Amino acid sequence: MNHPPTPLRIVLTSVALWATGCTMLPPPPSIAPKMPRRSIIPRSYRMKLAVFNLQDPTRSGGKLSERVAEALHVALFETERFELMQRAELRGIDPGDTRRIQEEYRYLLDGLVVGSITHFNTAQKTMTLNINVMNPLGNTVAAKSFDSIRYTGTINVNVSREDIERIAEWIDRKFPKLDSGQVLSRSSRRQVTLNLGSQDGVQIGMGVLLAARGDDIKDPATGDLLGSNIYVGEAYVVAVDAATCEATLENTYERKKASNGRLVMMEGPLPAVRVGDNVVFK
Amino acid sequence: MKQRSGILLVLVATCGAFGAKVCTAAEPQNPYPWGKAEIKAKGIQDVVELLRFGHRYRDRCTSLAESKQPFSAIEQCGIEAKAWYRAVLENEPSNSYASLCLGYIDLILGRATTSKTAKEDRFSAAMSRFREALENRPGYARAYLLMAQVHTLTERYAEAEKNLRLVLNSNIEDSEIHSWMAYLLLKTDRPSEAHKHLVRAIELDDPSPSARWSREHQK
Repeated sequence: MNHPPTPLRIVLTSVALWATGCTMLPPPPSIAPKMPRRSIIPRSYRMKLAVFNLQDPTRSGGKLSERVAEALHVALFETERFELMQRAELRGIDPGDTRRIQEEYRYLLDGLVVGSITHFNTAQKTMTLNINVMNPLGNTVAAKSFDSIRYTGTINVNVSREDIERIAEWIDRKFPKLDSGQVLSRSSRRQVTLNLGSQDGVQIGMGVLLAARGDDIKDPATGDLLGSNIYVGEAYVVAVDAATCEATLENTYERKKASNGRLVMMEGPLPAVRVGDNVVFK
Repeated sequence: MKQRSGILLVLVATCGAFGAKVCTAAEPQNPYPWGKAEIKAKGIQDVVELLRFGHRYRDRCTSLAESKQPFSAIEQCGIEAKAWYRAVLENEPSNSYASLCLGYIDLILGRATTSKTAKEDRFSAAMSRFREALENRPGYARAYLLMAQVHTLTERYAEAEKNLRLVLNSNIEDSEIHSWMAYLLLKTDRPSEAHKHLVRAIELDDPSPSARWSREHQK
């Protein structure tokens, strides 16, 4: 077999190598797109509370347990900090029926304001109230206060407005509106660590909205960027350190068709929360 | 004449007797029990569930293509995946993610086939799906990225670069974007610029296939 002379062989090999080197560069892999995160409809954008009638173990308060709750509802509304569930539905609920309260309002609220009248002092016309703000999901007490309030009248009793406003202010102080933060890590399927802690005012029981950056939303008329956050999940704080806190993720809820053809709200999967997502305190 | 019609009769009778299987024996066999009929039979209407089933075939399709399996096997998986994604679009016609996945399947099939005309057909089908996704969700960065990939593979480098720059200027940055940018720059004889993107792709997402590709071609 005749081979070409050595210099020609070198030239031919270099040309072949150059040609293959240029054309053999394989394109990078095409990676399958990831499923975009679906936005959720949060149960509330501000902390949502419901004020239930107070329990009256003394059995001497009469209508007072309802009156205190009404006054507290109004005072909380005036703080402009909270969303409040209307009282009409709550009036008929027996405050001792805690199981019903828990089951019915568990997925509707961020806090249940419950309490009891623990003591009456008829001589000084004062009564001692035990007010609790409960976390409906964890069934834990997020804030607790014993307060003495004044009342007037004997048959047509009225409670002191200033005293009730003082309790509302105390609840407001306990759950201040905080700066937004970020998700630091997802420690387990249900648990996330956030970069805000007790030094920033975080309290156990606070509800948070977890937001991811979505597509840029532009004003169709002006073209200005309006914002791009989409809410991907909700959580509530269960443990607080100085600079960080732990929050438990809540399941999402989806409207699904039941076997009888009716649309029902069913528990969906856990929200797809990732490290770096924004945290908006309610 | 009599003989010919006799042969025809025998053929028709055979097909009728053995069902469609005999007539479609040349088509690839479906290795998976799921298909459009199954979707209807099961009455699955939940979009997320439909997408999950689609992903099962899509991922299988990707891995078969990566391991250079016969095209017929890749195509079969693609057909199955598409059935699920089409079912999503039947439930939610504006689901841009399902359109994107349909386009992605065509992109993978286009890359895997050796026939030039089939490649062109697949790529043009993919492009129309990506455009559909962008109509329903303007600014969908992944759609622009996949469009850029099709443009690059069909050597329309100017359009590809425009799309890739658009994605790089958005809020998303990952190794896939940088590896495709680097590939485009290498193809258009700009090795120093390409090097920067290869380095960035490795920095961003080391274990991903794009980063692996970048590492292999960094030198």
